[in-house]
Amino acid sequence: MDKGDGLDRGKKSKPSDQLKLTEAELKENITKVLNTHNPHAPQNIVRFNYKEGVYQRVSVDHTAILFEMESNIVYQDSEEGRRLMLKQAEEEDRPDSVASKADKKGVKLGNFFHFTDRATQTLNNPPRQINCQTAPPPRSIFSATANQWQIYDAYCEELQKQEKQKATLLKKETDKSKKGVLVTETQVLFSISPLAKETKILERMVHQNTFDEIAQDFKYFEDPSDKFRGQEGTLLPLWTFQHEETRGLSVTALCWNSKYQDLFAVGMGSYDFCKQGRGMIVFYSLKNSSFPEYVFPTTSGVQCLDIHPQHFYLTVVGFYDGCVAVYNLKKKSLEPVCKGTPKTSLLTNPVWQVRWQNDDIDNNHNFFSVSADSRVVSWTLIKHELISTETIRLSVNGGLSNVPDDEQLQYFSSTAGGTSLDFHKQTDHLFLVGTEQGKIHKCSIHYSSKFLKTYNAHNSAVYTVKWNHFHPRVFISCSADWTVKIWDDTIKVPVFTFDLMSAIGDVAWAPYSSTIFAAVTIDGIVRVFDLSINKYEAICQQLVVAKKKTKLTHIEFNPVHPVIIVGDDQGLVSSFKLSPNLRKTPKVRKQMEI
Amino acid sequence: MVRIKLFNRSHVGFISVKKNVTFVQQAEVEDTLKRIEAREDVVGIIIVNLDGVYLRSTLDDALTAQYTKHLDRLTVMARSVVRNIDPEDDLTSLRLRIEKNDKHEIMVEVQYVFIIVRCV
Repeated sequence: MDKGDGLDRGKKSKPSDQLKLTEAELKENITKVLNTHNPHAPQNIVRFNYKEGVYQRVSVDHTAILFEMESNIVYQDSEEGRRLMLKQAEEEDRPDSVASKADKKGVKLGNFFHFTDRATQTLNNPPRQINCQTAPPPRSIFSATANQWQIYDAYCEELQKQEKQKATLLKKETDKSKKGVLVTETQVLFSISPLAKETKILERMVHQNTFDEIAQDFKYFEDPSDKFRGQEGTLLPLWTFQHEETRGLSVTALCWNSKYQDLFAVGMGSYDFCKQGRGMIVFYSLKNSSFPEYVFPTTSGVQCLDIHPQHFYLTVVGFYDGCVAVYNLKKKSLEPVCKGTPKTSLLTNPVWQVRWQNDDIDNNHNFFSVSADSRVVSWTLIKHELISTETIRLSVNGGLSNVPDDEQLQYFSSTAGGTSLDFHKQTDHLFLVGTEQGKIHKCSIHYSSKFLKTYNAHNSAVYTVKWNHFHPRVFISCSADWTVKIWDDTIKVPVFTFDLMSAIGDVAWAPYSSTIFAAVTIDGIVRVFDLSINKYEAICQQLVVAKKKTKLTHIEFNPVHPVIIVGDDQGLVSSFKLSPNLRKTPKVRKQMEI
Repeated sequence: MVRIKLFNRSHVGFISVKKNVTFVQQAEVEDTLKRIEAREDVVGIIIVNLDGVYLRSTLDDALTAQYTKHLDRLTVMARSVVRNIDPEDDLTSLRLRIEKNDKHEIMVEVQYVFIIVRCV
């Protein structure tokens, strides 16, 4: 019934936009067909087919799904169905299962008359998030390497710490005075003094590079032409040693160091009577030929020096003014450790030769010196003082004559100045003294009054006497009469005599052979003789100096290397390597054939 | 600059006596360095301390900095090699030869790191 809800039922009204059709058109029958074609499905979806390379139409399913519900019905006879049935059966068997309870009471069918579902929804509290952020802990990236040596260092440090702790513990126990701690601060400006050792090594490195060929020659070169030369040999020049401050001085002494075989000492002075002035002791090493290792300037010219064979840092030096001095290389000062002056101070009598001897009973060092005042003096080094004792006085008649101290005339006539001294290599107490008169005396330390033997060796001053390194009875002497003589000490006459045509400076035995010796002369020629090869002539004669007027003054063989050093009167020391022919060691013979 | 602090618990304070010896040694070292420098073969000397900062040099700045930087690293590595093999051992010196062009040789002493550049 018309309730008055505002809807106009019964009245027909035309909306304004209705389609206006004619009567005929109205009666037209329009057929509508129902088909399964989904009007909403797109008709023209195309997909690109990669296989054929063309766009192809994709057929779209025309099924429209209106309602979908997943079912939980399982087919009874399927696997899953059977499983579920078994499970259900199990469940029924359990005592607290719903089905069993239901069974007891009787099966109650639920129908919707007395089975209702009720549900309520609780209030969901809105969730809230509470966050907290702490400050990040400080981080640092650390990297290190653990090498063998770092581990070792760490252990060492630990050890040191422990030791320090022990030490402090001990100190605390013993230290009673607990006065305040004094802190003194010293400021050391940058100094490069710790680099002393390194600079030295560097200098030697640089030097080695400069003189590389010489170093190689020294070590390895063996002259191959010696095979074709027969018996003769040559000397290969190696380094030359010169120092600016030694200008005007001539080499007066040479000595190799027994422990450091590349170190040698050069004494500088002057043989010229008129030109006496200062002197020098210079130590060179073969490793550095451009600059000496040690330089000691002296007030008086050096005449001789000797390096102690055991205590290699002690050098004794004899001067032109008659003094002797001992230098210690270990001390940094340029002054000698001690200095001894001769008793007779009226005349300057140069000390011609000094030689170390073995330490005496109290382990004091002692050495002998021979000087032009014709005395052989033994000096003992006791606590930085030199005490001299006269060993023997050389006199013409061959014995100690009672010479009163003041009588100088008698002093001159009956004594002869000694010029050289050498101790026997095997028998300590035996020594030889050569005199200005040309005689050689064999003496012993124990007998101070008499000579054991006298040899009328030469016609003029004997410059050098040296015992052979190997043979116990053979010695060599050279003198101002231009001859070199070889002696057997049991025979009064020289065994060999060599007349070199010019004045001789020095003669030296080779340390590796009992038959080889070398002599230097003022014409600048070095002569090497080998008695086992040639008894009359030198097997090597070589001019070794550049300038013609240089006189060679001294020669020494290196104890280990096949090298000789030669000093001349210009202050230059040259070193030479001996060629293989000169280095032949003789076969061991039962008797030395003379 | 190196500072030395001395603590002493007794009532006598002492100052190191080594100062005098230091000066004498310093003169000798200076002499030796001058001699090395004076040789015609030597191109330059650089003295570097343990931190790698160069203290004295006879070459120009840029070159010195270059040498120092590279050689410092090389010495560290070389020292590592030597000490790895035997921890009680330590490197004392290094020599490098450069064959090409100039034929230089560099010598490094490792206590205070010395470098000398030499032309063969």
